[in-house]
Order: sequence, then C-alpha cells, then structure tokens
Amino acid sequence: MNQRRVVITGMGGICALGGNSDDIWTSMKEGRDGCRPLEMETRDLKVTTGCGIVGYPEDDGIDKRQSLTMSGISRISVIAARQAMKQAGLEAGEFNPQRSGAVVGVGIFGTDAVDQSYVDIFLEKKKRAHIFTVPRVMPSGPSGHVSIAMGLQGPVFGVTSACASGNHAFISAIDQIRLGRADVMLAGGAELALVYGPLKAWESLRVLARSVCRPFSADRDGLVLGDGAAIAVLESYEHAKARGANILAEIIGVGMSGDASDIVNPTVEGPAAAVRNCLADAGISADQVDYINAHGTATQTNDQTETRVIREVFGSAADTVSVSSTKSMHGHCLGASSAIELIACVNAVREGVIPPTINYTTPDPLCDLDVTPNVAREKKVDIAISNAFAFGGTNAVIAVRKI
Amino acid sequence: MSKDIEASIIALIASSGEIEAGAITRDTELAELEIDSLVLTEIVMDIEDQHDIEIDLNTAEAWESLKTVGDIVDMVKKLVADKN
Repeated sequence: MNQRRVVITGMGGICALGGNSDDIWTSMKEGRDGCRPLEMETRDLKVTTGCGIVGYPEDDGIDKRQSLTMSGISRISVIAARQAMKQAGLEAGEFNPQRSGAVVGVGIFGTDAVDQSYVDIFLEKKKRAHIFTVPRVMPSGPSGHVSIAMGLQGPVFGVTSACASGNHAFISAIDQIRLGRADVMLAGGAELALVYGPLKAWESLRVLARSVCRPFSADRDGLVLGDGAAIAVLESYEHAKARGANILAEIIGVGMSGDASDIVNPTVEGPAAAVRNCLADAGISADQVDYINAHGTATQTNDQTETRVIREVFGSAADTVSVSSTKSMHGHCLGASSAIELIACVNAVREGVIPPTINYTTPDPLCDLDVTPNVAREKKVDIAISNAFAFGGTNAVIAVRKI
Repeated sequence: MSKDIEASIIALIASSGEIEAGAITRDTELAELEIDSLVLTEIVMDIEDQHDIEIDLNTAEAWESLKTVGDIVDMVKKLVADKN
C-alpha cells in the first residue's frame, strides 16, 4: 500500500535517567541504574525503591494558573513536549496548528491528584477535594495540556493500554499522519507510578523486585516501578523534508494484537502476532532487524514468554539479533515505558550502539537470547523494533529505521 | 467583624489573582480583575473554609450572580449572620 511515510524529528523525555532525551540516552549507554530509595512518605509500604525522576527543571516554564489544573503527568508531558519541539525546530507560527495534534498514552491516570483527594477527605477531613481534581486526574489531561502548551489544534486525545500505552499512542498518532488528518503529531507517554496508591496496588500483585531489576537474568524477581514521560515529534516525511528538518529516524512499521486470553498472563501467540504485524507493515523480514528493545519487565513470566515470542518469530535469526531491556535502568514507567524506549531505539539506529540490560548476573536457559548483558555494545543498527506487551493482552510493536 | 470579612475576602482575591490588595475595593468588578469562573469558585471555596459556611452556588451560577467584590462580601456577611 502506498502510504505516507512518518519520520521522527524531535524527542524529549524526563525519567530516572535524566531530564532530557540526550541525558537519558547517555545514561542508557553508560548502563546507569535509575533505581533509588523512594523519596516520599512511604507510610506502611513494603516497597522501598523506585526509579524516581531526576533533572526536573528548577523553573518548569509552566504558567502558575495552568499548573494548578495539572497532575504531574501533565507537567512532565509538557516538559518533554517542549524539548521535542525544540529539537525538531518547530516554533509557534512555523506550522499549521490545524494540521498538528497530540496523542499521549497513560497507563493509570493523574495518580497524584487521586491520592491527594483521599488524603484531603479521609485523613485531613476536608469537606471537598481540590477544585481541579477532575481535570488533573483525567487520563486525557497530558494530551490536552500538550496541545494547549504547543498550540496544536488538530487531532488531540489520550490513549490507554496499561504498559503498552506509549506505543499505542505512537501508533494512533502515526495513523493520523498516514490517513492524512495531520502533518505533525506529538506523541508519547507519561506516568507517575511512585505514588502511595499505585505502589500499594502493585505491592498486592506481588510482582515487584525486592531491590534490583534484572531482566532475563535467572535470579530476576520482578519489576521496579518508575516515573517518567517521553514525547516524540512525528511528521510526514514530506512535511519534514519541505521545512528542511533534521530527521532522526523513520518509523517504518507498526503492529498490534490482543491476546484475548488472560488479563495478566501473556500468551506467546498474541505478542508474536503483534511483532509479525509490525514486520509485515514495515515490509521487512525478521532477519533484517538488528536490535529488539524488549518489553523485558524482569518478571519470571514476561521474560520467558518474550523469549519464546522472539524465537518463534525470528527463527534462527533469534540467535544473532541484539536484545536488551532498558527497563533495567529507567524502571517500568508503565504507560511511559515504551515512549522512553523509543529514545533507546532511535539513538541505537543513529549511533550504532545497543544499550545494555544491566544487573544481569546469571544466564537463564529459558531466556537464551543475546540480551546485551551489563555493557553497551557498538554494532551497526539499521532497523530496531520496540516491544510492548501489556496487561490486558494489549500488544503494540514499532519498527524504526536509520535514515 | 464585618470589616474583617471584607478585608479577608479582598486578601483572598488578591492572592488568587496575584493583584495588590490595596487596588481592590467593594466596587471593583470581578471582570476587571481577570478572574475566571473557576478561580472565582476557588475563592468561594476558600471563603467557605475560613468562615465555616456553605455557599450554595455552582461554578456557572457564581459567575452570573457575583459581579463585584462587594457582592461576594455581602453574600458572605449574610451567611455568617444567618449562622450566628
């Protein structure tokens, strides 16, 4: 099918690895661990660590009145969006607002605002919640605020699919460009997981690591939650070319699927279908993929299943393809994870560096892939794919190519 | 007491709208202060907390029925008097 090509011209982000996409990428290459003791009132929580944000700007540039209506997920989305627009060289007046939009994926909602309401009402016995609780909490808040901050008047909405929200946001945004509804789309994900309520809920699920996130390592014992946001500027190739933009990479294919099986236990078939759909959409074969940014949560189940998925789709090419889970460094930022992971994929193809899976100690025969243990590796990377396989059996995969 | 109510309301409006308290009088129109309906509701909520009263207004109605600072002061004075 002859469809519009979609390229990436800017990236912004903020998470445990840094306050912008360059710092995040540098930290990934250095194999830095973003996991630290929680900096919050932990009350009765058993979990003590998380990947909290670093590098939050002293002046976030957000209007005080506007800020009152925002959850932290909206603030970090706007910060990341500004960086992405700056890198893309897009300023107000230089693009058509009606042909520009925003899609931001969120796995939960404005968790900080919900928690604050419960504290206000139940603990402090206040008569009412904060006046802006509703707009703070809504999962479409980040996309709305990004559109307000950047003046985007085309398609603007939020998407949600738990831990695949970021990739589903990219795919929804790409569709707007492919369908001719927009020329420029800001897309990504945002999450605040390090808040009492969500931490307490995740604790109950018993999938959190005791202290360290070790994807694919035999001694892995779960995920480490993180906060963060990442936003990319996506443009039609023609639009980017016409304005002489610096193109970072091209998104050559996307694939989605649903497991239709179990709400928390993944199948092999569902994720495998998403990867195959992505390769087919890109018009490439599995052996052309040089790097897989794995979903790699470091739960026993995910990493085993994901290994089987890669073996099934890649066949003998699974022995040579480079794989890594950058969640070992930035933590599992839920709806923001795959957005942050696009920073890894885009830079991997640009610089020819595979970011590592850190904290890896012991090979697991059930995860017998080249997971790039502990140290980044230089390698020519033309094509990278980013996996996101979420609770709900909602799978989304994206392929990027060097340009 | 009633002077206190006026002064405290003006102080609240001043801090919410980032305006000099001295520039606000009973006759000041809320529209001049560039206070929108949600900010007005926030101010009303703060007044409720300060005086332990309940003002039965939703956000849209507040904007319709309150035009000047004096309108808010009079409404609060009446509610405080009714309570006592």
